[in-house]
Amino acid sequence: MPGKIKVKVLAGRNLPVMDRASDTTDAFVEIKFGGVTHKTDVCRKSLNPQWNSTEWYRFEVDESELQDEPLQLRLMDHDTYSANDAIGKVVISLAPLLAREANNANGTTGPPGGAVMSGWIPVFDTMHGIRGELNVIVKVELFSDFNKYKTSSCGVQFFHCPMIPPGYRATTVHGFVEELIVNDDPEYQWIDKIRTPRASNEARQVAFIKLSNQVQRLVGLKAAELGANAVVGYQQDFDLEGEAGVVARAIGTAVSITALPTPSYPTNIPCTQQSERERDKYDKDKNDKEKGSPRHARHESYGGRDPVAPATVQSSSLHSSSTPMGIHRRSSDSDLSVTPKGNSLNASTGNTGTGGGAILRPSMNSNNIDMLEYPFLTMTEYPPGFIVHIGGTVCARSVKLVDGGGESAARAAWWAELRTELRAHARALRCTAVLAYTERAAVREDVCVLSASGTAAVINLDCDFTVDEPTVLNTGSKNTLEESEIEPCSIAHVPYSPGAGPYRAELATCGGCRRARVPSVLLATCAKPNRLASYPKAITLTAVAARGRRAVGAEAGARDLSDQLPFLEYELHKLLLAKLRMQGANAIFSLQTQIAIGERSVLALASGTALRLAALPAPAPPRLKASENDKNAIEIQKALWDTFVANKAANGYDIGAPELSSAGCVEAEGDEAPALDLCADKDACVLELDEAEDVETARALCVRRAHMCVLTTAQRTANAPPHAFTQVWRARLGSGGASAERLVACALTGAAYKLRRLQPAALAATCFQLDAPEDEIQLVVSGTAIPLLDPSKAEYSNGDRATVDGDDDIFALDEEQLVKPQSEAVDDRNNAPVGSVYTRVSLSTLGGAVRARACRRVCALRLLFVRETTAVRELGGLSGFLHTFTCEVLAIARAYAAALGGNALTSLYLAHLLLHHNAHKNQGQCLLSVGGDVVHVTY
Amino acid sequence: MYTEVDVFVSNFTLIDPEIYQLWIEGCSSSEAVTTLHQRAVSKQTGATVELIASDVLDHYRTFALLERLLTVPSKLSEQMVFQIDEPTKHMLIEKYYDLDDAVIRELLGRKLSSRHRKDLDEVAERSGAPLRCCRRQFDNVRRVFKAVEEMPGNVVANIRSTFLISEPLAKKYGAVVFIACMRFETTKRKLQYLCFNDFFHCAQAIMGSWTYSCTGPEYYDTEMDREFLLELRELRILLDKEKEHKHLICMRLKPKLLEKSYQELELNFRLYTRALVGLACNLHRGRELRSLFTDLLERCIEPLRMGGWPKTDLAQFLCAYEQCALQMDVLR
Repeated sequence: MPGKIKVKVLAGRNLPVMDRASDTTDAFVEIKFGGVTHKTDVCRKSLNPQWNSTEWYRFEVDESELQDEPLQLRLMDHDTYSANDAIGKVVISLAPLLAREANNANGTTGPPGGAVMSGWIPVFDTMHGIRGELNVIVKVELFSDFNKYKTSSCGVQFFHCPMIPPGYRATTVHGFVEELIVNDDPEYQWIDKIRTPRASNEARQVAFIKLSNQVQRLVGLKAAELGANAVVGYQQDFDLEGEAGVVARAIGTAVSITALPTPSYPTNIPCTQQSERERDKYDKDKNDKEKGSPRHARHESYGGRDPVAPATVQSSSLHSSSTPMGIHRRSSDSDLSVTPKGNSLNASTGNTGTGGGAILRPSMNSNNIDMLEYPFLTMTEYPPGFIVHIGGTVCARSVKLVDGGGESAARAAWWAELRTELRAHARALRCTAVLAYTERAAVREDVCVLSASGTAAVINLDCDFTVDEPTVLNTGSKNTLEESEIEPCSIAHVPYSPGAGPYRAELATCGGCRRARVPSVLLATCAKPNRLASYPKAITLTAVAARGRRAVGAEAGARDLSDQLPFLEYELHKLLLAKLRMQGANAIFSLQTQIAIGERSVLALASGTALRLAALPAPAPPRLKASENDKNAIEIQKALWDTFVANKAANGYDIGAPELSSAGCVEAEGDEAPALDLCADKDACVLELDEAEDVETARALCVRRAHMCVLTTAQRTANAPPHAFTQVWRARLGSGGASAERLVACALTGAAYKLRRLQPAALAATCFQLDAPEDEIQLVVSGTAIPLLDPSKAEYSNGDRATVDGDDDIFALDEEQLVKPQSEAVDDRNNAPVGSVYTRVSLSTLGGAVRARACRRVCALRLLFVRETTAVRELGGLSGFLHTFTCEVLAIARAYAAALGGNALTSLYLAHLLLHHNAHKNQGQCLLSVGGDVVHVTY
Repeated sequence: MYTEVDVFVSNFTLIDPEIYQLWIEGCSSSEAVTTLHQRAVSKQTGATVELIASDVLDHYRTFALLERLLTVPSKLSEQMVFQIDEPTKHMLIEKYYDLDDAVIRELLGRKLSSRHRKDLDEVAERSGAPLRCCRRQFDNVRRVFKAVEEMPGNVVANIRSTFLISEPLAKKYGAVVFIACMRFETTKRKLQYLCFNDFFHCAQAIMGSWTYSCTGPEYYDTEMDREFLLELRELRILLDKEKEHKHLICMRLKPKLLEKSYQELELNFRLYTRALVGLACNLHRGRELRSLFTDLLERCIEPLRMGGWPKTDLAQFLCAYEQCALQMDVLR
């Protein structure tokens, strides 16, 4: 289906001086799409040119081309006698505009505003960075087409947001969609040897953008085939395999969503952060004390399986009694997560029930079978009631050799293998689905490690997406039977029956209902379900393990790596659990693990949000196992104990469940430091001091670091925009993993110090990316600081309810998307005038806007930049180069967001930071991609 | 472990006023780290040197990037690279254009050309400020001078609108620009004891009273009112009517002045009036105008100082001198 692009270039400003003699520039713009190029007039001798043409430059192209090709505006300086000089480029992907235009044409879900992009966009040059700005207007017009065999997917909206976007209602979740494309990397083509660095970088940039658009289009196509109109939790990745080319991978969850109706049905929303807070508070009321001895078990398998979260077994009878309302799952094939293979398993667990009206009803067609093979969901946050039980983290890894000829089919098969393995893991845990599913790849020369991970869980597909939990709880009128009977702690219950677990695991009785079984420690890649009761404070936890590579080279290296991986994971897991225990916490959510392959070592990083769940038993203090007369050990034991107590106190985990004081359930914990443990050998909390390394680790565990707390629902956020930040370290790899561990551990302390002027603030959605290029380690931390209300200030009661309601009438436009429980949440916390508008563009790594009154989703945005310089020293060294580049990239992202009609970029990610440095040539090159969801937020 | 890259970038550029102040003062990054670490130790914030160093380097890199924009303050609002809130922007500009009285005193009377930028060591030595700090102020003065020199209208208003700085600071720049435009002699050894505030005060007075008062496109208040200076020649008549003038002044001041001062006035009135009027009559000549401050010192201030005048008495005398002259028939 053809479309029409209309482009107008209005003006430029702050252009660089290109003509030294007259200190001016003769600027003109080349507008290129596909093979067609238009040119503006030359605006002579001006650094702030005005083209003032009323003329629209038009391109008439095919729809799939519209989605794949970027629009390129090249700003040039006209020279009469010599060749024209390039000033810089503006590259615009039309995909965001297309989704809007297509939806406008359908007149259904499209956000208002039309498919126009208009505003000042910085002109970027790969050799010089930002060089002025261009004021452009781009419009896209589509002609409707209902051809069944179309190759485009304009109507499908994309959200990086890892949940059903606030402001939308999910009608159907169709399932997992993925796509993979292999292409050449222009950097490694022969032509690169003869062209200028600028031409090469630009070619690379455009090639990557095209690839990214293409993979998005194909994912959209798959989603459209499933009958979905949107893809949420969209993740896109590039694997740069050098000579072998580049692999663009994308995964997402296909859903059908509709924009929220007018506030006459204000309760019909999917999960929103604020609404879940209410839930959380409610949960805390039901909180009970926890008890039981903490244990942890570990499962390992050759081939690299991640430690599955220690999980427990429960008896069938217990199970049925603890969840009498039944888990409404259907074993019919129409259900998302049931595959023919899984049916028997499901039946045996007795988890079948009579379902209510299943809202998730994937349309039945032949394509569906493929989808059902992978009951994976990429979202991390779900509506209340969706998750029934969490089984634990499941992970599958494989080491592969990249062989020159890149073939999409072969790569796709690799991933299919992993997904199948992961599904088997989930099955073993008696789980029907994998949530918060992610795929990662680490590439080093010819060797690559592919990892797929997620959280195995039993989900309730009949969960009513349209009924919001808080409303149900608060009003009690709409209460459905099942909702009222589900205990909030049931999420933590193990999904399998005793003895049926895949491995020996220590279990405890649930601290919530005292009937069901819970694991002693819970690891999950998804965000904490809000109905699960926990202590209010959460902290970010990281752990790094490293091992030396014994063999380098293609095959030998790969074999060695695959031998090393299980040990690496074991170490990582051990350290992570020890750290978790030291903090007095018993669960990790939003767990991310990644592998980085260096020249001489392989590193693994795990990061997540640690907190203490009320349902799970309290962690026991750390103990050491060593010979009796080891003075050193006694010393360390003492230090460990002190740190443990101090951490617990700092985290507020040393008291009983906060809102249960009357129950008198404060646990009696030993005040005395325990003596050295001499006999126990199976207890997981015991550290053995056999090797020097262990002593080192134990000492490291004693170090307390000042952490910024993680944003949880219990905190009261101030009325200020979120403050996204990125921190990049790159350092020579010291002795083994110790330096890496230290670097990562210090990361957040550093961020807290640098954000000291924002205090009080909480961290949210911190993302760690570890890399090991050229025998150095590179750590990229990106996160968001959310300013909090100063606890020392007076409490604000919900007295300004009337104000908000009054305003609602005024802001009739916003009201359409107004999320009622959100506004209630605002009521509770409000202290600043409602409706104050931030004219600046805020960035946030969070999926939703905090404290927003209304939030209009515009589109997804993905940008990629290549920057090179031959004057690293002049820019202030590599740090200076990267600092400038990062600032510029963020600035460009903000400009795009503003031009597309948004004032914020949520689910922000910064990825693929690839820095090459040639100190002798004073040259540096950097690749960086950035993206997120453009939204318009009314505060 | 050798850290090669350590970069922290946030969406809203955070500026720590303390670090900015150190940068403005011309501290190198290592000096700033030392200073801040000492402060941190005394405040017991618990921040390590490494952390402070990393933070300072982040800030210094940002400042280096911002400096380019600060030279054209209007660009700071237009630029898209840094997202800074308005109060911080004002703070950045205001502090960047801040003038040290000691440094600016040394810069007065110097040629504001880039050739002389190299000779700032001397200024740094005499004012006691770091060289970097002197360079910044020199460049700022030069930039402001070049920008408003040819601009018609009120010089202070021009500076304010071009450089977006506060009124008091703009007035300082106005005085500096004015002194530079008039090419007043300020560097003579004899004048060394005068501080910048003295010149600032004089320049303010001269700008207020001796330049074209109407503002409009053709009027520059960095230009002397030629007609006024020519008319000053008429004051010579005061010397002819010296007796009458003296009489009027004595009448007026007798009850007010100290005995000693009155005596001094009676004795040396002729000397003083000749010096004042002589100075005024010659102001229409460029060279005389330029050496105004030296002449004032040599011909008026030094004799007055010999006379041992108390400050209040002198003020009353000069006031009466003006008032009485205006009362005389010849000047009516």
